[in-house]
Amino acid sequence: MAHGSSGPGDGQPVDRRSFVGTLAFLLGGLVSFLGAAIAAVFTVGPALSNRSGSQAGSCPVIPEAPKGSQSGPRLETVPVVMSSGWSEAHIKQPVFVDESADGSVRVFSARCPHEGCRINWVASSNEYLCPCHDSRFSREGERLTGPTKRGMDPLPAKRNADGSLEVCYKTFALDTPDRIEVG
Amino acid sequence: MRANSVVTTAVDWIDSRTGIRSILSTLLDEPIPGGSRWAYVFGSALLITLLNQFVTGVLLSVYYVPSVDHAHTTVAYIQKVVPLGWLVRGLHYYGASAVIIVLLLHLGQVFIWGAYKQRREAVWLAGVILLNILLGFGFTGYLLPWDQKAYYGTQVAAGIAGSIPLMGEMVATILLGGTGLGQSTLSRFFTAHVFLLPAAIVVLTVVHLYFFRIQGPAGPASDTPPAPETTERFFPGQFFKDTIVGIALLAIFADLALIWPAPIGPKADPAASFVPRPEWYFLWTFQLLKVIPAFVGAVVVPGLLMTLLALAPFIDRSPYRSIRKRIVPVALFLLVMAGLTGLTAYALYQDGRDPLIRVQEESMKRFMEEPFVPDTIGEPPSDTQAAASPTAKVPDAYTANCAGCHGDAAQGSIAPALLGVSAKPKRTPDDLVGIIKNPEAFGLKGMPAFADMAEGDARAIADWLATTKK
Repeated sequence: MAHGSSGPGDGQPVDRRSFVGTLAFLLGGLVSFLGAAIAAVFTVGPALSNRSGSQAGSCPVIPEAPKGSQSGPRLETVPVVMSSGWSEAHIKQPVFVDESADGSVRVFSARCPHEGCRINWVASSNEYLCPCHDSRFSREGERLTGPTKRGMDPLPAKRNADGSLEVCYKTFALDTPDRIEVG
Repeated sequence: MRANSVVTTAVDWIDSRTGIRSILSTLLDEPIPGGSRWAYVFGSALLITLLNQFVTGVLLSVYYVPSVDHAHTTVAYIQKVVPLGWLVRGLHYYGASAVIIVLLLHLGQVFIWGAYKQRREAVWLAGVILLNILLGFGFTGYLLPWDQKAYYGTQVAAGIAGSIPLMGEMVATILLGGTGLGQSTLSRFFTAHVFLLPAAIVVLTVVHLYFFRIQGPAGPASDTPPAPETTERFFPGQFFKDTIVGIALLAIFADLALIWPAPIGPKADPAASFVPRPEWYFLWTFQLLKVIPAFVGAVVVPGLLMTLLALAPFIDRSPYRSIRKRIVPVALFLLVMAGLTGLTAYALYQDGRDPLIRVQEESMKRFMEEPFVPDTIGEPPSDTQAAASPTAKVPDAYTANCAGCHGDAAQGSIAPALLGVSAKPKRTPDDLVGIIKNPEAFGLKGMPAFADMAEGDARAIADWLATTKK
């Protein structure tokens, strides 16, 4: 390698081609790549392996759910355990409970199947309305108007002899025409 | 040739917009008197080690939560659950110690080679400030895992701060963010560790390197300057050597993390007894405290040493750099370093023979092997809460003989929890009586034998333990 007496910044282009220089760049690049791969596994790994969501397979009981009135469905909350990273959070998820006069019960997730906002029951127009993007659903949960691609998501529910209600809370993929369970 | 000209055109285009060639030239074409040497790698090695701390530190913050409720769980989560978490945390843990080691090598070389001479006082002073910032990193980072070691180590440091005459109480209160060690302490240590100190170190490193580049590298420790024709540029010779050493260091950290996973002990528990130790690079001052008052050993002596170090270029003012003409400063420096090393070694030797320290290390090892338990957030609905079974009264014999290590309700302290222990194999009440009398016979090495305990007392303890539930 020729090293002239000219100092840096004197306008003379420097020839950077040399075996050890290239080797150093290659090794440095390799280690940086390894580091980036480690960082990717470290940050993305838990998100993929430990899907956050409600506890699968559990059907918590809403104790002593009062009877629904003729005027419309009632908003209830279902206790679920959301496991996320290092934590297990006891949270409550909103559902609409709608009981007909014959005693049959219908439960919908109050999450809008469009983008997951909380749906409201509008008694005056006898329909469900998602306030985020104006998706409307009938009392039976069918899609009426708006950007949603499917109707509201029904949840399996059972009335126990003591009057309490068992609801199997589930979450579904958002903005899909079909109902795909995700947790 | 065509591809070559395309590349040249592209580089010309970029250069005309960014000035990349002159930036690279500034970074890579620094002249090194006497040519590149393996002896010149320490500064770059320190920079690479610090970069490792930055990158792994940012990654750790993806999961770490600076809360007394969750900090410990999040660190355990990183160590035990997150894929490659052991590696990222291990790189940070061993990198932290390496920062101090490489720093001492760098500083020692500059001192012994007299490289702070010839108008390099500003470089030296910026370096001494950097040394203090790095020690601050070690001190604040030590608390963040919020395990027993972290909690009690910081507790003692706060006590030392409190020993400063006149203003001690104020200093300790400001340090802790109140009168006790708690959430405010953890929050401010976290802020210092991840925001303030990193900002300070970036600024000071730039200043240090800027001053260094103004004066240029000092070259070999000789009073005859190297021949001008031996001057090499930083790239490629020195660049290559620095890269190799940097990669070797990272490989060593990764290896260490694999062989001895970065430790974390049981969660900080103010009620449990624990014998704290500082990080190894503060052990010498800890050892001093055994024989002299805290204020002198941990404030005055280190303060004096640091002041002397900062003033070195102003005290050692002879124009000579060769070691033969600087016997006194070099000998003094080596003497102080030998003293610090001796104190550290003595502290380690004493700890190695301390059964209490061994018990603590075993409890840390046990925690490392336990499966990860997530933190619960929020209250489970009341009807699903298991009714706690009323526990029988704790026997007096237990309180007198066992509570010190196993906790006053068998919940565990420096020795494991015993709640529900009789559900485990070979732990029937009869076995427990046997263990109390002769633990070695059951393969339990850390526990002392209570051979003289009355049969009735041992039986009462064993029967009571059998009623406890995990």
